[in-house]
Amino acid sequence: MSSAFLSSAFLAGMRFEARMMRRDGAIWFALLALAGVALFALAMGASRVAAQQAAIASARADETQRLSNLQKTLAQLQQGEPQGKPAPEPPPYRDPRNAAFMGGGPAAAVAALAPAPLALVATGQSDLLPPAVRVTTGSKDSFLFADEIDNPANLMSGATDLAFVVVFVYPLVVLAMAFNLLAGEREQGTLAMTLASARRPSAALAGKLTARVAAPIAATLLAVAAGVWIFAGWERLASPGFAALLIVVLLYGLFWAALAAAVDGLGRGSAFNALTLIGAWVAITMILPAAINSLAAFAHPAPSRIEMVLAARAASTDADRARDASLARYAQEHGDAGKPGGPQEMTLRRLATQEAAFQRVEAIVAEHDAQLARQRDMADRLGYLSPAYLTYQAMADVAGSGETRYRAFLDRIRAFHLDWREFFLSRAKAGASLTAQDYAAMPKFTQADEELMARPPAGLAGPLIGVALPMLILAIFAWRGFRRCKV
Amino acid sequence: MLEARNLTKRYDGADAPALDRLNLTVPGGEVFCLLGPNGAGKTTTVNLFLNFIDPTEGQALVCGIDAAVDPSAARARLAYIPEQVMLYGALTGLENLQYFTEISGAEAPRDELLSLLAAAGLPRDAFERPVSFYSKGMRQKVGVAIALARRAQALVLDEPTSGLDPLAANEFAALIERLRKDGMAVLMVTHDLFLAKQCGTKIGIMAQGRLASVFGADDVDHLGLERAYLDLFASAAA
Amino acid sequence: MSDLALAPLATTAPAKSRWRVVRAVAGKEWLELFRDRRLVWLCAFIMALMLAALAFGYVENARVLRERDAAAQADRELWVGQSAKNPHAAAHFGQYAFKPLSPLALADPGVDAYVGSAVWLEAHKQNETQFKQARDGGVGARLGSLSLAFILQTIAPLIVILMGFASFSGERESGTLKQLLSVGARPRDILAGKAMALIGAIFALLAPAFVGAALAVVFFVDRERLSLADQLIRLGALGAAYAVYLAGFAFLALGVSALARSSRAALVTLLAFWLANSFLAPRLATDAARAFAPTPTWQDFRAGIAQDKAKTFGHDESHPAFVAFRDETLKTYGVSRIEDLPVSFRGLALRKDDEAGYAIFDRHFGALQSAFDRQDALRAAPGFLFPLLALRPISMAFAGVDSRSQFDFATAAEAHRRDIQNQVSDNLIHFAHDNRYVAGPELWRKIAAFAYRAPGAVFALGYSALPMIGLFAWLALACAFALFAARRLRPV
Repeated sequence: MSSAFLSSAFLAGMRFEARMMRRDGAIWFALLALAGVALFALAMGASRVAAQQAAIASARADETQRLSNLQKTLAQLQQGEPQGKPAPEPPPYRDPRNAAFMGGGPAAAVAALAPAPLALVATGQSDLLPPAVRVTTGSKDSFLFADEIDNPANLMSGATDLAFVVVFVYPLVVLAMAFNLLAGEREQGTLAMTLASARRPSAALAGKLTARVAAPIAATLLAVAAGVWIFAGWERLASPGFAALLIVVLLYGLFWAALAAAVDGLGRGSAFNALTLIGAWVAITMILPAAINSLAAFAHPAPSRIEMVLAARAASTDADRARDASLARYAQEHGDAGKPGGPQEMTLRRLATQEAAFQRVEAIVAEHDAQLARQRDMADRLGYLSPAYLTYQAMADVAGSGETRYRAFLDRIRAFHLDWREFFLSRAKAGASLTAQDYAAMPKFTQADEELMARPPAGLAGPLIGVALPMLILAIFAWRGFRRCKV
Repeated sequence: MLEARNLTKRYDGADAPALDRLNLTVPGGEVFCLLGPNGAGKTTTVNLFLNFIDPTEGQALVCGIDAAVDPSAARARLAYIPEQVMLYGALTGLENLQYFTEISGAEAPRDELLSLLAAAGLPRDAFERPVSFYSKGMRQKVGVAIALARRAQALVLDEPTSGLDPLAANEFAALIERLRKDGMAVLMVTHDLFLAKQCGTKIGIMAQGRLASVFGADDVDHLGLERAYLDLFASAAA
Repeated sequence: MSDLALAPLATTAPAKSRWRVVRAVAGKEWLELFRDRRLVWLCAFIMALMLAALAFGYVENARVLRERDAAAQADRELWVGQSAKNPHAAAHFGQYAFKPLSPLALADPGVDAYVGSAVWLEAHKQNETQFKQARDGGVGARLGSLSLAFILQTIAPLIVILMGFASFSGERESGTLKQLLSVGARPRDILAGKAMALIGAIFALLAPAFVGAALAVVFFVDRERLSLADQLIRLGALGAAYAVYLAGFAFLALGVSALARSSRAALVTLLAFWLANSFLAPRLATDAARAFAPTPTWQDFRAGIAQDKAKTFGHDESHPAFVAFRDETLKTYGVSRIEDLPVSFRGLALRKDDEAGYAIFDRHFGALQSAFDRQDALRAAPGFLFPLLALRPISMAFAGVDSRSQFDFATAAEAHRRDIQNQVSDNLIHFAHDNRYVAGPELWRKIAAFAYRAPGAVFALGYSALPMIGLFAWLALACAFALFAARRLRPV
């Protein structure tokens, strides 16, 4: 009986508050503006994803073009011989038969990371990390760090994506709706009537609060669903990633609602509530993330990438010197006759350089990755201080534009790079020329698209708990404040 | 019925208590009018019965239930009409009545609520208009309807006729008389000597937190009441 | 005439008494701000935050400077330590040029994390800079880091708003505005007094930060490479720009406070503007800049260069341009065979090819930078309405951390690359008598390392004209708005 009664006060509070909200034009404006901004952000995200896909397509087209040109030249060279009139010998770095040089550039394979199904949701790092990489036999420093062209001021400003709207704008609307429940009723005079009339005033007030926060949360969730449907297709709505996205947005909204209710439950005036909550918003969305990043960078500074390049250059110099020394010994032993020269000399020098550089650069890259991992771990751990930081990362993970997915991509490239080098350098060392069959058999970088669609973003449990736990604690404080509320 | 036993309230930082060992009883069917100047402790008494504040000593009992110990049970039996009946401006009079009735746990179908509004004297065409357009008298009538809908056994009123024109005040007095006849215990705080004489069965005059004198409403005429009131404060001021 | 007759009243209040009113209002406002405990704590917190940001910036700057110096030295050793080889092979090995760090990056890191710090100066190719630091950060790092610029651009206006939103509306609500106007104080004078107090408070907030930054710069600057005076001038310009920015907010807050119906309405309006200025405007302006002035993709850019370079002959001896050049050279020297030339034909061919390449690179990279400049101009255009759009480019320009400074470095690096090529070509032309010619460490040592002198403050001034106009227009508009609001001041 009492639970049924409780729910009737709660439901009455919710129903009548919803009725009042329906009649308030400002609330409609705020909700429509929020939904509108979310839809705009998704539209921008969709266009960015389209641009990325175009870049990948263009890189693949270029690869196909290059390879077909090389195969044509190869055919010409091979055909030229039977005709008796030998075709002019191309230099080694343009000779499609030269394994050492072809693998190092002209025949380079394109390794592409296609945008994930929900990539339109967050830009993440995808504007800095080009989606298509040209893998060569050289060391990693020569191909892995290519950049897409973009105005650095653009990159600094950041894009309008859903992650931005959800992390920064959405909480403001939730706060604006929820900050003033008890304080406003008290200042308006209706709190006295409510306390006097209701058997469980806190249930009625909780109902009112629910109506007030359900509106912006529902509006955002609907806008997200509509946007994903319109810009990415309805199949995305059925994916576990989308479900994860909805949960992230819901929990984040509930966190801010709980915070507003907890501050309201302190029983101070609406001016106090407003200023405190603005301060909390600034602290949680702006100051804390900035402080976290600065601290992590201070404690574990980023590695100097130029070390890789210098190591590769040092390796090439050492290889040259070693080569010169062995040539000198050879000349000493055999005299000028039989000294290898010309194109073969270039090829062998190049091979030696690549071998030496590869080993050193791999070691340095591993060290750098470890250094960055330490910085990232510290930032991740400190990130639990700010639900905004956690939510931003979670959304990037859902969109597949965070570093988790990119690191998996880099792992695949590492394995592919080894295969690629093996294919070309084994032939180069054996002195074998590339044939048409070799061109057909070259390793190709494929990506299992199905696994992208089906696999839900991993590692969301931590951030979700990191937002849910403070939310629950604040909700408890809020409930106690509401129970204790006085006129 | 309403009872105050040695009810005392001392606010922090104040030398004298706002309410000093108040003892009064309002049985069902009686209207007790509490008169007194500002700061005498009338509003404090009301707040203690409603448990908006806690007493320092003593008890405020509503139908035998201590308001400080079990406020929700006490409030379930007590209806309240404040000086300014604050309602939700965006809702209509009927919707406000529906809302406050529902959260009080009372069952009230729409027809019954409509008849309550009519019984309280609210004009029919105002039922579905937003409260932001109501006059003070109209809002007060909604307040009465809310009190009626809650089927409370006791009613506390704070300055009910302040700001009402004589006609509206008269209507109000008639309404209170009907409630009294139905067996409600009514505690009314007011400045209005005429209203006290008209509605009340007992009149109490408060000064400096104490009930200075109590007498039956019939025991004194208007002039006598006025003289008693002024004498009390002339001697207090002196 | 009776001695009770009064002298006629002056039609305008004498200037001296107006100034007294202004001073009195300013004094009382200042006292109120000072006595507001919460405000004082808030300002203290912000000051601590600013000093922490400066400390982080200083440490980071010092670390990066050490790294780049070490890298430059290591690369020089590699270059000089090359074994004897054909100079052209050495040109292919190339040198690395490292971008020096601007000392004021400790106050405003600008786009430094988003541009590369090193560029490879190799033969035949002008490369882009590499190794953007932002690539290595995580997603969370895109939320920004604690820098003085961030605090002053985003948080400081909020403080100004909090100090000023209830300035007039609070007085109206408490009834003191009625008193003030009834004793004859003019709204303009009240406005002037309140503005003085508010702007004074802003200076008090900014002063420790800029003194701290000045000290940090003095300790940090390597006097041999950079002029300390120039850095301090730049810092002064930064201070002026931020002062104009925040003063505009002060006038805006006072104007809104005067016009608004209640303090709450004033706060909501000002917060909405702050949100639009700090968050929405920069991102939307960037989206608009990208949409209306797009830049080519890396693929298209390189394809464009490759297309133009196909007209030059490179190492391809069958290219018609090569043949034409060979014939022309033979004619110039009056010989009929290459072997008879008194100088190395290979060297001449290289030099010719390089020069053709330079024109192509200048055209393409110049066009790219023009595209960036167009985007920046588009982004800064609404700066008179949303002042952050005007302030950011000014702040980055004077801190030496914008894309123009980067372009200056890239141009200087390219000039050095050309110098390397020219020296190598000259060496080949005069000394390479056969294909087995090798040069030794004397040549490597002769070719200098890259030495870059960052431009002075005047350089930043030169191309900041548009944003500076925007920023001053913002101040003028805010001022005009405040005066307009003061004229319409209602006491109730």
